[in-house]
Amino acid sequence: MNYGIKFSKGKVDIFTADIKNQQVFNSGNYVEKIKEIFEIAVTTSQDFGHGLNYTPVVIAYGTVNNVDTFCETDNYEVTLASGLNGSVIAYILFQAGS
Amino acid sequence: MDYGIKFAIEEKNALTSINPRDFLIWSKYKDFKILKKANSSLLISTGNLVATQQIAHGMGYPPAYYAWVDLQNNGKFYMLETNSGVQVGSVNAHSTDTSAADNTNISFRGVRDASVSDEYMPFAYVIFDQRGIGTFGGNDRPIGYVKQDYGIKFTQGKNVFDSKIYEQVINSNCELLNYHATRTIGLSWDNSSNGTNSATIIHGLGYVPMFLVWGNFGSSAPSGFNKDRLLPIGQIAQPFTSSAWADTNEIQIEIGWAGGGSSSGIFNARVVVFTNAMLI
Repeated sequence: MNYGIKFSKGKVDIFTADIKNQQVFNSGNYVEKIKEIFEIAVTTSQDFGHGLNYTPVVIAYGTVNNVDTFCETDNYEVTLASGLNGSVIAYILFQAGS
Repeated sequence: MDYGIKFAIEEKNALTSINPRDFLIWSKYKDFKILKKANSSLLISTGNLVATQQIAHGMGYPPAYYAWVDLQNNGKFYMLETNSGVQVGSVNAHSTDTSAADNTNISFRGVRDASVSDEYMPFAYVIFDQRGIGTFGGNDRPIGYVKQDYGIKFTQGKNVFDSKIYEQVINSNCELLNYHATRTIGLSWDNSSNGTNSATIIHGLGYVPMFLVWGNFGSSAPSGFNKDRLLPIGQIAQPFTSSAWADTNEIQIEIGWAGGGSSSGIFNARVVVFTNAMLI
């Protein structure tokens, strides 16, 4: 596509910058936007309504190794849980859901 | 008040649409900026079955990060916490586990079944501007980040001149995590006996893209599993094991299960591909 907007990274030539490593933004691609960030701290489990009419995907991190913390999503809510009363943070993504 | 920057997709009206998925960028929403992208290799030396890779990041807080590991040094990069042999009782399987980030390091452990000779696991990792658990603190940039005083910065509600990178919408020194595509595919399973199954998505990008995979069991969820809930690959509970890898052409999802049951169904995998390359 030879129209639209491109930002190249650093000093990279905008006309030759490749999409996989050298472009910050190209109007032919979606930036993966974060809808919302949910967190629990020192809590076993908590549900959060995400307000989307589809199941989003979530990138999540927790205080204990991934076996003991988890994050699940469905059409209505996100469940964050930590088996050892730890902390979990979850980023709800807009674009990658369905 | 509606202010900021919006780039709408083709045929969508930037002035009237309220659907965030109609926009390539909408500055009121945060994004993932890639502060550091690097490739390296983990060595499991002769006589050892495990080795831990620890990388000092210099952020002062646990950053959001990810890594993909070429478990068998064959160009197939696996998601963290997954195994190259999903079958029950697999021999010479390779895996990663205990992935973690703290205020100082990101880390994971490489594991193998046999310790005959030195073995290398190439890997790619990214450090994002957003945080893992904990609070922002220390620096807003990792070791090796070169601050540039030129380019483009957008902030929303913050002074652009003294904002942290994680407060910015765009910083042209950082790649943004760019969405490419979502693909869904089903993998049948039957726990009347031990088994495995795999499915392939062709991404055709010609390079190894960043990717993530989630899955659920849908209406055929076995006992103990919620049918609608998406979980990341690698975190599907026993008696199932799951993994996913990508190479320059495709992404493969694999599941395995233990027998002794009387159920069957379809595991629904959702593969998300990003435009960003894993390898520099």
